[in-house]
Amino acid sequence: MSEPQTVRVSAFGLVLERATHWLAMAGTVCVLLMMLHITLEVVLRYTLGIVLPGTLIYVANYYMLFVLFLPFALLELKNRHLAVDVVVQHLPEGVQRFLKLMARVVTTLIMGAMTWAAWGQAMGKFRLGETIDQGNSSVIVWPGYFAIVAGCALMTLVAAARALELIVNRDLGLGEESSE
Amino acid sequence: DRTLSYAHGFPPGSDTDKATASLSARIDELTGGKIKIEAYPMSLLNFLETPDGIRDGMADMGWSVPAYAPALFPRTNMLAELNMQTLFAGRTSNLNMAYAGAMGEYIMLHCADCRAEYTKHNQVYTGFTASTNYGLQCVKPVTTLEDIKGKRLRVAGAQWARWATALGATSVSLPLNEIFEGLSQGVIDCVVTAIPELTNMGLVDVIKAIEPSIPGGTFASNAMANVNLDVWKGLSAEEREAMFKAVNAYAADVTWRYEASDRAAVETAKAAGIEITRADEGLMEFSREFATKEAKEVIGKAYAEKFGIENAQQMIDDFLPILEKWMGLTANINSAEEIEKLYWSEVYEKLDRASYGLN
Amino acid sequence: MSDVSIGLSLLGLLICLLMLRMPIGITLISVSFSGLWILKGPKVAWGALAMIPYQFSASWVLSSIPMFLLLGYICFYMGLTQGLFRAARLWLSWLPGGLGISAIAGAAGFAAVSGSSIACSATIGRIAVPEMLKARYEPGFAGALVAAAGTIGALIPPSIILILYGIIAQQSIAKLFLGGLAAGLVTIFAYVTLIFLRAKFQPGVAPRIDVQVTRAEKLAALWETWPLILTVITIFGGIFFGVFTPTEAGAAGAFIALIIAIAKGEFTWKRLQTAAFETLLSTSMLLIIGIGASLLTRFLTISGAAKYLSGLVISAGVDPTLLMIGMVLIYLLLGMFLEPLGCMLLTLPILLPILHAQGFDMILFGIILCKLLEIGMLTPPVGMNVFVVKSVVGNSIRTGQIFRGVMWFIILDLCLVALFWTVPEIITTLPAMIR
Ligand code: NA
Ligand code: NA
Repeated sequence: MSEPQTVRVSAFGLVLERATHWLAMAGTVCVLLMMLHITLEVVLRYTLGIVLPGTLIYVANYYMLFVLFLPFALLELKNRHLAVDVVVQHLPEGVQRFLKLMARVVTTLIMGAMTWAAWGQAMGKFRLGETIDQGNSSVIVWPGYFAIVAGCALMTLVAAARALELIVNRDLGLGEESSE
Repeated sequence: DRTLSYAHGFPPGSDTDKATASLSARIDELTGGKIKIEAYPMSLLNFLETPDGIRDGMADMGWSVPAYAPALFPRTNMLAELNMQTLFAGRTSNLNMAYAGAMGEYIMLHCADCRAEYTKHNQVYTGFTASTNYGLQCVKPVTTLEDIKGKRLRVAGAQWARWATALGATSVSLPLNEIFEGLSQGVIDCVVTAIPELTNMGLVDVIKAIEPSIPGGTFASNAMANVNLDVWKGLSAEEREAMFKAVNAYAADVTWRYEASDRAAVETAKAAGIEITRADEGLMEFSREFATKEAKEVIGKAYAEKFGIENAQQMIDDFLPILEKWMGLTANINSAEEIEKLYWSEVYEKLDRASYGLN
Repeated sequence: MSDVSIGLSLLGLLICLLMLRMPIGITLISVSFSGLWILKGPKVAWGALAMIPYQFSASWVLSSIPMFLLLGYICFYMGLTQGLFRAARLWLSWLPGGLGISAIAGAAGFAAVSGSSIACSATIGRIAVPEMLKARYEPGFAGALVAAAGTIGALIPPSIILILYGIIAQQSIAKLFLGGLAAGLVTIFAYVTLIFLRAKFQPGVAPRIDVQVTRAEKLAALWETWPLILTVITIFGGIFFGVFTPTEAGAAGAFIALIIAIAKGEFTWKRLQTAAFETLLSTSMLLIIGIGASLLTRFLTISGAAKYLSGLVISAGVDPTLLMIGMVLIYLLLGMFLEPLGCMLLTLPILLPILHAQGFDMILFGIILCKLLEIGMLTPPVGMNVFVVKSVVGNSIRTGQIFRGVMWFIILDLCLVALFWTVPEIITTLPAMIR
């Protein structure tokens, strides 16, 4: 009875873990593309006097959002959040465990809320077809809003799964917490 | 008694921020302290956030810049984009009050569609202003068609970008805080902007020549006193009347400060040894022809296609005579009080103020 | 309950939650969201939660943070920075605290191409802290000196804080940069002196390394530093000769470092992937807090709590020196919790008119402000530079240890603020040289 259930739960964890890494991998590609894009702009401008249109907009409204939000779930998965551990490290194990659970529940709730808010915003901008003027033309910028939705949604799921792990006291197959 | 928050994206202590004192003082005086307005420079909402911030009620009122939200307020932007028409005024002074007045009159009195764009975003348009005339600020004098060819110009506006391209120059986007470096390092040759920016952005050290008359135009895409619709509906008729008067005084104050700082900046520039040039007739004529073509063939068509404004050309044809009238009305103005009176008699007084914004 | 007391109560709640090891970014977002809900209702709270994350992140200037981080990680993972500390160890080991001093020197060099103190702490921390721990430095001292060294990054140009201040206060950014350069150099000198004296009189915190080396070995070690020196020179030259702007310098610098790594035969795809991956994690780890701080700024502004707190101190007196002391107190208090840019945006609206009325030198004030904001990067409970160092060194040092060690530098920084205030010529002479 318990055997197949464990397999199913681990599979769920594994899928989350894989999705988190793929999203983060997409983010790393964006970091490198951002570097290349800005460098290309600099090189073309300096050598040939050619100005790539819209570099500022692509950097701010595309790359920055992908780079910032796509790794959100990984941040949660690896528990790489910044926190103040001055007081808590002196508290009993049980209290520490409770606080950890509380942190994850709060993360699940607020990230769930942020996903919901970002989804509404993204759909609104998508329907509006939001653009930013660039010289004589305009650049579509609504896709960036969906990076927030994707990052926050997956982070919500990971935080919920981590909270569940603490409640049922079982490894759900999400992998190790900290990479260091 | 209630205090309305007014959010704007200008730096604390800037001319615009100082003028908010008029807004607060006037509303206090007119309502006997029942309504107060507290201004939040940059700290509550920046320009990009303001339209949505007013919609959601983060601020009760604020300075929306339609140009930063092209899909939300296309009609206002289309009118603002006709600004190179100021080339036909035959002067470079007092054009901000002319253009702002014309936009305010057209939007508030004649263009229900324009107002509907704001209502749809849960806010009411109540005030208008514009920057002073746009000129070329360059590291080398630029006065002829030959001079400008191949130059790299920092422009912020579709029409100026097209003008630059038509002249064989390149338009470059550069963030505000990099203009100084851009100029001193040769990334750009000129900035297309209003003259007071010379001192605002500390450009005195790098700019060597100012050409005040071209490309012309003002930055008029300002909805400087948009009020959250629910807040507006919650005010009594007398309170709304007081709001119109307070915004009128504020708009006049801001507009006059811009004009005064423009005049002062020219003096600063001269004192700093910056050459004030005069574009030759070839460049002027080219620019005027360009502006005419824009108004007749380009801008209306572009907005009709892009934003589905079916009567775009009709709007332009209606607006231009109003602008011409305003360029006449403002020729001899020399104080904020005069602007306040003019705005009141030409716009606010003719408005159905009891019902404005309510339906 | 008045709006101000709601603001202050939630600020108290925020402090409590942070003390319970709640993730900082998450807590800032949660408390601000709840606060806006209580003050202005669900519509405003949802609106802010939908708008602020995008508006904060979609920024060209902010893009220099991941790019400068990437530059640092590429230099680190491709071994461009190893030679520097080998050379520093060989050349400076005879000094008490020699490794610590060379970490400051490294931070000073990196500061010249980095606009944020965070990137500076992260990069130098990753390189220098393991070296110092290997040399048996007291961990809290090693972590603290790197966290403090990072603050040089915001003083020596380019500096994002000074650029933003220049825009808000309408001051020449070129002048601010020259003032920042002066303040940065004085700070470097003071930090080096502090490390030297502590190492001399408390050898336990920074044991002397006993390395017997020949002159040839020293020169060889110096030669080993060419990749980094070339990178720095290219970046400097690029900015100076107008090939790229300081914002673009991060990306261009990372690319240059990559080319140099390839030339040196140190490039592998795996290393590049690691560098980009670490950049990604560090960036989002820091900027989720930035989003939280941006939301908190709005909440505190709307509640009037920020104004109330500032008003308390300002009303204490109008004598300029008293006012300055008041401001130091405000920024120490606010800097405990807030991220510098948010903190600056929150307070300048209230302070600038007062400063203008008092006839303050706004360049001097900008530099002092920058220094005070950077002290906030070191103070608990939210000390970003400390967290950054902690995040790059992993579990070898506890956050509490770094916070304790950093107190020395905070006291020293406060002395420097007093020095700049009493002898303003230190800051204002350089900027006065340009028109
Ligand atoms: Na720096
Ligand atoms: Na702090």
